Amino acid sequence: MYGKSRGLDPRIGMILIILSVVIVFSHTKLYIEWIFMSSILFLMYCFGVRKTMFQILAGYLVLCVIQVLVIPNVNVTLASMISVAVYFKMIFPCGAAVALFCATTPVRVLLEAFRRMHIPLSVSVAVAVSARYFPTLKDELTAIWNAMRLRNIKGMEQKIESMYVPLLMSAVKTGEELAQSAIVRGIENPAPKTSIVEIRIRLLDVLVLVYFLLLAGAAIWLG
Amino acid sequence: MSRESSSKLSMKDIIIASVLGVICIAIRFLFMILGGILPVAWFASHMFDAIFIGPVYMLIVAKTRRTGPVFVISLVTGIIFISAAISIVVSEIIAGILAELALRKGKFENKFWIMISYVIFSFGFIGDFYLLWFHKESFLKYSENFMNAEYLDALSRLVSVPTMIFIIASILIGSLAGGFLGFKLMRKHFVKAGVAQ
Repeated sequence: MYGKSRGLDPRIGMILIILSVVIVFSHTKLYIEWIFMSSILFLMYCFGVRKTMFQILAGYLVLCVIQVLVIPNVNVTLASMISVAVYFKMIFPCGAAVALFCATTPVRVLLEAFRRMHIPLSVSVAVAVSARYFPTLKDELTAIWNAMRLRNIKGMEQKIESMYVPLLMSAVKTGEELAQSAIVRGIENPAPKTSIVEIRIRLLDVLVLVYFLLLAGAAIWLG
Repeated sequence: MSRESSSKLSMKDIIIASVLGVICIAIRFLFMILGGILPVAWFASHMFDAIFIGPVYMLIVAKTRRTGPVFVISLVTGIIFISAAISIVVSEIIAGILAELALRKGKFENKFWIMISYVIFSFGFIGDFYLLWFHKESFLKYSENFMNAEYLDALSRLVSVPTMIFIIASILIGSLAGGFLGFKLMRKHFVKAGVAQ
């Protein structure tokens, strides 16, 4: 189907992210965190985003190893330096939930979900443009970096300035082009918008939601 | 193009502001990752954020001159960083509203008020530290499960009132420096190139 969502309903995905924040900030038992992480990884595996799954798993394992093996065995100064790794590990489940959401929800499905939730168009357009522009930003940075190498620019201040100014210039240009193409396609039309993408809450979504609600409840109750 | 002097926010403003907002978010992300390597760098990261976002902020204000884009960017930043700390959303919304009010006060042209609003905007990201400051006990208790006392002692010494004041001062200095850098780059490049007036 056209632009079909591979994973959960976007609205359920958003609730999942909120639940992950609840679970993390209830400072619950470690095994609840592990159950949550493995559930998210399992969902990723089922929805066919294996590459992201292995990246997340590897990152989590590295942080766990730092926390359990490295920190108690080095001196205090060094330990306090890598202490933020513990903080990152603590918020890692939220990151995993966000990664699941981003990997399985195309932008058009997200926009349709926003429309159904009656979120103002200005906010949903801002989110959609941000999501689309992130990959472009990386390409632009690479291009500017190569051009700088070619011209052999020296000095920190010079480097920052000659990186920054072209980046902002091109961002403004891209923004104007995007705005023109969106206006030509009728984004300012006051009539209610329709979408070719259909989203609906299926049985799987309900089951996943109930499961994670129970997990969050358990986290609060035990924590 | 029909850009009369109405104060209504057009889609064009929103799209330009969100493309520039992505750069703000990318800068914050970069320094957050750098801060992940060293806690000291994490505490100073907000200052660097404030310095580097200055030109972007000035460009946004100059390109749109409407109420709204700054708030939308604050909101989107808050939503994207919700996974880091839920308090970021709250602080970003408050700072976004206050920054918009300051901009309105100066009618989007007065440099003094633009500067004030930029300082407020920079403080929006301070929600990042909320957990470490106000939930220090629960954070430390959570960490007790798997860490030695010596290490926790070092951590709790690092998170203290002087550190808090240091961070606030560093954000203030950083945002002032970033604002002046923004004005300078605007004069030197963007006005000359005709990107903004």
